[in-house]
Amino acid sequence: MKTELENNKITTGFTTPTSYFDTFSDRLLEKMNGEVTSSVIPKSSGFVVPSSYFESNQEKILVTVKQKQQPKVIHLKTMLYKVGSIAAILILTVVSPILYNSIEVQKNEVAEMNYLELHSDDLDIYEVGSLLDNTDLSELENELIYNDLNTIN
Amino acid sequence: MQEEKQFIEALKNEKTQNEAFQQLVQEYQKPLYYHIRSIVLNHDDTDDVLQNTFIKVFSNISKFKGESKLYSWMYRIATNESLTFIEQRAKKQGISNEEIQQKAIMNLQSDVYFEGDEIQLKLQKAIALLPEKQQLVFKMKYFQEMKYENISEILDISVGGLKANYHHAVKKIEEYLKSN
Repeated sequence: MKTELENNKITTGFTTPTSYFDTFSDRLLEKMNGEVTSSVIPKSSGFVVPSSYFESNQEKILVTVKQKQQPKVIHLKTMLYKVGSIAAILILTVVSPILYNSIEVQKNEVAEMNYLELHSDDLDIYEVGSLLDNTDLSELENELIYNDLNTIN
Repeated sequence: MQEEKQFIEALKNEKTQNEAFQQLVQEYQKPLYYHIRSIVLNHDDTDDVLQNTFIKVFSNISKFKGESKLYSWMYRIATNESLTFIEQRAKKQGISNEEIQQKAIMNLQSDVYFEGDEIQLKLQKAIALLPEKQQLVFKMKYFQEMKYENISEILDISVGGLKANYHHAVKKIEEYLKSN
């Protein structure tokens, strides 16, 4: 026995675009072949090249390609000479004077100190003053002021 | 039966398969379209799923051993493709399959390819409330008027089981239509 729903059939109400089934097979084949037909996307990019561009440039391109294909040989001996020479020049011109100067300064300072210690009793204030520069003098002055202040307090 | 065997051979043969495939598409595009449409509801989605179904049929025809009828094998592919489509969309949107279906029904009102009235929309809402298996059985029997034997071969459910499923589905839908 049929029910009310079966006696009074309700359809789905689904429709399709016009001629959907007529074109389906073609669209399916396009999809399977990886092709796309679009009315919106233009078929060509719009880029153009000057006439006979590729013919005239063929030779030029081949020459460039050949040049680029030749490998550049680096001679190890020449390279070592160059690097060695640069290193030697750098040592002689930059590093040596710096080293020499710093050793000389240290030597002078030590000699001055020794001299002052040995002859401290024989030296008068003017001789000591002649051995000190402006910076040393101002440092001494500051030290004296500081000692005075401590004594007062 | 003999004719179907020959047709399957033509589909497998490289020399004849293009012509045979065209014939297959012509014959089955409409019934498969409405079968898929009853599951995914939207026309554009149906178009995608239908194309994928035929592509799958074409690329797997060499593996088809003829253990079932060709049309039931194709319907099985179409059903699986439709259900997978819903599942993937649900996953993408982070919602359930049921919610996807509800959304599709809501969209039917503004769908240019749906000319249903209030009762047809209500019927879709009632179907969406059924369990998945009952939905499939109801749609195939009620809308596509398929024989139980054929549905049985496609869904791999016994004829008795299908009858029971269909009976329950009709009862629930009638109740829904009367109360809403």
